Amino acid sequence: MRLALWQNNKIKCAIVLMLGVVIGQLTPLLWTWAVMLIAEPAYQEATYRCDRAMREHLLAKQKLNATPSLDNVRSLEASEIALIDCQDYDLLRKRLKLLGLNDAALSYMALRAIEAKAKDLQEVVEIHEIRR
Amino acid sequence: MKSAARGITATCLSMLVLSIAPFTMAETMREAVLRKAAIKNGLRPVENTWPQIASEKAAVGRLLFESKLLSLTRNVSCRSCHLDEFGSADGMPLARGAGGIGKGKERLKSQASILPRNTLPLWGRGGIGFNVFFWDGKVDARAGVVLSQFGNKAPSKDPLVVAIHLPPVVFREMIEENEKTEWLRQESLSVTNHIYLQITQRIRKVPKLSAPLAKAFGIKVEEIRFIHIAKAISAFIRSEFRLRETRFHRFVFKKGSLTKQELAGGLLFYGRGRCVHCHNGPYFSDFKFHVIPFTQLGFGFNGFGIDYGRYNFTQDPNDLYAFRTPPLYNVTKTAPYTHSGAIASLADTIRAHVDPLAKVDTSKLTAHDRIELYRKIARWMQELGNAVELSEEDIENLISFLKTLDF
Repeated sequence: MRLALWQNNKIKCAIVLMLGVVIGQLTPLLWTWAVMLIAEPAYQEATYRCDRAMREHLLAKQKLNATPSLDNVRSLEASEIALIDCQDYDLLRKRLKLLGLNDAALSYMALRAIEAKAKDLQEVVEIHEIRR
Repeated sequence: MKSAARGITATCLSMLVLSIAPFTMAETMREAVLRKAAIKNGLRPVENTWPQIASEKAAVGRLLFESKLLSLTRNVSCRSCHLDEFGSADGMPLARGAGGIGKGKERLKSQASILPRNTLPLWGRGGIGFNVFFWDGKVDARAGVVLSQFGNKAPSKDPLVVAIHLPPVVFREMIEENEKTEWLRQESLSVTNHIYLQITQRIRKVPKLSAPLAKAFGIKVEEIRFIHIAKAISAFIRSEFRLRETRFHRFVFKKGSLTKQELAGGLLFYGRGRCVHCHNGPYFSDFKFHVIPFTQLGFGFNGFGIDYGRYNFTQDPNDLYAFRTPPLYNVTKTAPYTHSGAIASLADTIRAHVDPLAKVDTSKLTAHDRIELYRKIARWMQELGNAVELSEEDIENLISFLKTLDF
């Protein structure tokens, strides 16, 4: 009975078409999943490093404004060089986009990065609280 | 089979996603940033640090540097502790001076008295702008006059020449402690002058040394004074230990290349690592005094495991535990590190700069040692370059960069 069905060309074509559709739908998902799986540790680290560099830069700027001195100028210059960590983060982001990850996937990984580094609920609250 | 295929796929994907080298443009930007930062923070072509060298004086200076006659007790020379194989230092945590035998580990086992501090290498000493000497800067010419233990009777206006006057009159360093030398243990200029005279008289009697020395200075042998000996040694040090061009100089001034790791280390050095706050200028030292809470090895300059560093010279409580920033040329060859040679590896030394408790088990310290450590940490917290988060990879990158300062 089964063999007879398979011998029917129309049914065969329909099955192949269905399989094609299923594979076509699943492949991008699997690809995205695989890229995310492999890239996530590096992306987490890059996200953290950029965040750290930005914080240090902001603090160095504020310190210089509050207390102008040659030492604080040097601190600011050093923190500017450290912002290369954000360039690394951007480069990685672009590469991942070229490999097919969309903003949603990248945002998801960024949130996972925050969760990985966060030590308590407070950091999650800071991200999600409504600010006036 | 399946897991192997999965492994290969994962590896390929990893390579594709993560290990694509930063685009050429980004690399160029990094190189430009590093070159600019190096120049802005005082790096100069190495020739700019070269002093004028008197070759005839340097030649006899070498003989004097290697002569044990410079030691009142005739059992140590300058060379005994400044050896090529240890980057012009001695390879030991704490120096063994008068009476020490052999080199490195062999000397460590000898019966010589232990000095309170780690031997400093000699690279760059006497170069243009190199004007603070010793861990505690006890010879300091930054103000345009030479400040030293000689007060207003400094034997020379050249700080290197003044510095060379010190080791021969220091007990345990070049004078062995014994019954015969005990009477010299008094801090007076008449005693030091007596020692200089004794050394000078014996050198006058050795034609191999006195003849070229007299000739180099255009004087008669009987006119030789200790100042001539010190000047000849200074000429030798300036010649022998002048800076040589490093890979980093070639990178900055001749468009040379660095590896990816060296580049990352350099950017860390001038950027997030904040090493450059103290290690700047043509010698990678600001010649100022800073506190890093290193553990103390040995009895210490002040006894009972205490070394107050710069304070010993200035008597200013603000200088407690502070030491002069050491230059970084050939730093990978001069282990062990810190003023008391307490840390064996460069990686641990870098770690201790930014995270002093990382390798210290405070439960194994005595209450006294812990208090000392807290005091140092309190001072360190006022330093600009304190408390920097560095990963193991960061430290490896920094070491890779520091290797570009070798020659």
